[in-house]
Amino acid sequence: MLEELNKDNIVQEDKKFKRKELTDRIVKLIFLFIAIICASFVIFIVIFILEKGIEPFVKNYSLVEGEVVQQNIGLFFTNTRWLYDGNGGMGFLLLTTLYTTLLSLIISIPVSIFTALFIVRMAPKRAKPVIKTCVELLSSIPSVIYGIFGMGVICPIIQMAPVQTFAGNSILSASLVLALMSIPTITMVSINAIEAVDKSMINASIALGASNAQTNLKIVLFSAKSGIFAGIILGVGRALGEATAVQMVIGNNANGLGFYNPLNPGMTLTSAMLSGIGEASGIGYDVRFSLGIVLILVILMITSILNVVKNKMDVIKTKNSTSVIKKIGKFFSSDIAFIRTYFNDKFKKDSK
Amino acid sequence: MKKILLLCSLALTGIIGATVVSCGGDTPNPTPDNPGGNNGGNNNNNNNDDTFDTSKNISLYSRESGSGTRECFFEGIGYGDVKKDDKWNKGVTVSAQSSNGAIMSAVGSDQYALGYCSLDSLDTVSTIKGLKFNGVEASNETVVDGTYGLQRNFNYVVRDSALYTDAKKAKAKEAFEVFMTESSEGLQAIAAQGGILTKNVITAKKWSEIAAEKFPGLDIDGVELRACGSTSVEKVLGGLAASFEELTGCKVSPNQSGSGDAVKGVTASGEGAEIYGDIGFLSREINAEEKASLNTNNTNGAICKDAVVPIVNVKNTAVENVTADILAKAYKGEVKTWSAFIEAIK
Repeated sequence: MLEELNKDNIVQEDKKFKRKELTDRIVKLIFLFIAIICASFVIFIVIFILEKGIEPFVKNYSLVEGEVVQQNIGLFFTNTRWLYDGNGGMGFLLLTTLYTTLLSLIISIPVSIFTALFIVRMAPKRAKPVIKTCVELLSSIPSVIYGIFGMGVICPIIQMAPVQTFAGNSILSASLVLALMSIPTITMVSINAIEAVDKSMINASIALGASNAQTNLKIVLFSAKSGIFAGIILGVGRALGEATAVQMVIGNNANGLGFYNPLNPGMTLTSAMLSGIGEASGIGYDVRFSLGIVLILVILMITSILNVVKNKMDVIKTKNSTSVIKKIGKFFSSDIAFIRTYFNDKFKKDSK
Repeated sequence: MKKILLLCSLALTGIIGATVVSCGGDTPNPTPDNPGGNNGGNNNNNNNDDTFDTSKNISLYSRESGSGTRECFFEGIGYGDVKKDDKWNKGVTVSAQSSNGAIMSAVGSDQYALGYCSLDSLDTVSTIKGLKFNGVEASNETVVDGTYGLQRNFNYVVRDSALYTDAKKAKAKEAFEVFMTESSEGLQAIAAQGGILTKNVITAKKWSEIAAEKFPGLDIDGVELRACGSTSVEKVLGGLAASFEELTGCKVSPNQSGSGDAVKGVTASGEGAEIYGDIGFLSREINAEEKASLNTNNTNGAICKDAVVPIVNVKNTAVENVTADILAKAYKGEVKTWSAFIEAIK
């Protein structure tokens, strides 16, 4: 009698356990499904931009009565004027974009790294959270506010240069605004990277007679370099893709290769897309999607190159890593197999 | 990491050095007004200086491509190549500003600037100065009588009545069209917002009379119409909508995004469309491509006029009057400095 009761109990416990496991696995699958939908938006966006962006090269647009135009592929890369009559070129826009980003990074990288180093290693205990919160707040300011700040403060400062400028509207102003915008991103990631540096390494360095400054520059920065580089990659992404603030201060000169002088007005890929989009129609509207393709490709290329560099920096490399798709496949198959066997068992029992 | 930091500091020093070198080399040429080639011993010859140095280059400003103001200006000065597109001559640097406000503030802070803006907003900024065009000052009178050359129409286009399933809404649209083109209240609202009228407000009929005559038993209270198209018309539209709502209870909500969306909006298939409008506004004429997509039920016409004024910084005391020819030369890059510009006017 007692044995039978025990058996029943064990069977019941087993059932409970199995049911719990089942709900866990189903919830996991639901979450995976949502995550996949989220991630697939990237694919939808790329497909949409690709479809629209290729149109100017294949579709016929009527500009003037009886005249039909298409975007010329060769001129799209080589022409140094940005036009909507099918002969516009974006090569110089791309160069300006890269140049502006480079200038902004030259300013933002040292500032961010030293700020992070100061916050983690040198700041007084009470000041540390205050400075950190200030930097965090900086990252939550919308880009249009940065644009207005650029127009109202940075442009007038640039205008004070002893050469003639376009009311301060220049590539340098845009770079300064972009630097301001990417500083919080790089700093926050760098703070995390520097905080994660092994304390024993720092202690060892000091014990060996190195000064604090030597330890900070040679040991801490060296150990945190991979993390800091990840921050720089995010900063590059922010600087390359920013449109509103850049368009407000760069001066939008859609003609020629004047960008070599940082005090000249210029035009980036993003500012070309944004400038006058409300009034554009026909090929002038669609060709902005072609610029979108170029921008996506450039950002993908630069971030992947930087990621390769970053991976090379990593001392510890994960070995035997399987591909993401294989992992997802594995994830799916084990869970689905479990759910299937569970219900099969249940149906069998029920039918009995 | 050390290398990156080192590179950054090297580059930074390089940029600062290059700027200093380029500034040192920028000594202006001696001119009759400025024999020493500098600004009265002030080495810092920046744009905020009070003296107007005619040897300086003209900083050219324009509106962005696609803007109705830009089209009107360049059509008026006879340089049609750049009215829609950035077909500037090689070596010409033009800063394209994306709104009336932006171009006025840029010209207002750049002493050597040359630009243009719409007449309506000219008086709102004190740091800029409007120029006479071909000897005629821009004003409501000179625009209406046609003596002032740089002017444009604000046009409208309405949705085809046959496309409506809701008869009340179709009626409201028709009533609004008549209200803004014929009634004295409508015309007054346009004039109050700076639109230049070609019709006489005093002889125009009152809305109550028109409504009784053309729309007997009109009940459009609570109906909502959507306007789309040019952003330049937004102010005028705001005045019209407020006046119309007060009289009829019908709301007109503006969804302005640019002239290009006016015809797109009124020919769009339904309210779910990306751009939808019962009435579309354009700050330019309807072009051939757009005309092709309209039918006879899409009535259109002009509601008022606006003028474009060439502007310079208020500190620019050397220029008061310009001609179409000299403006075109400046934007073509044939006249580069203010002294050459002043010489060409004489």
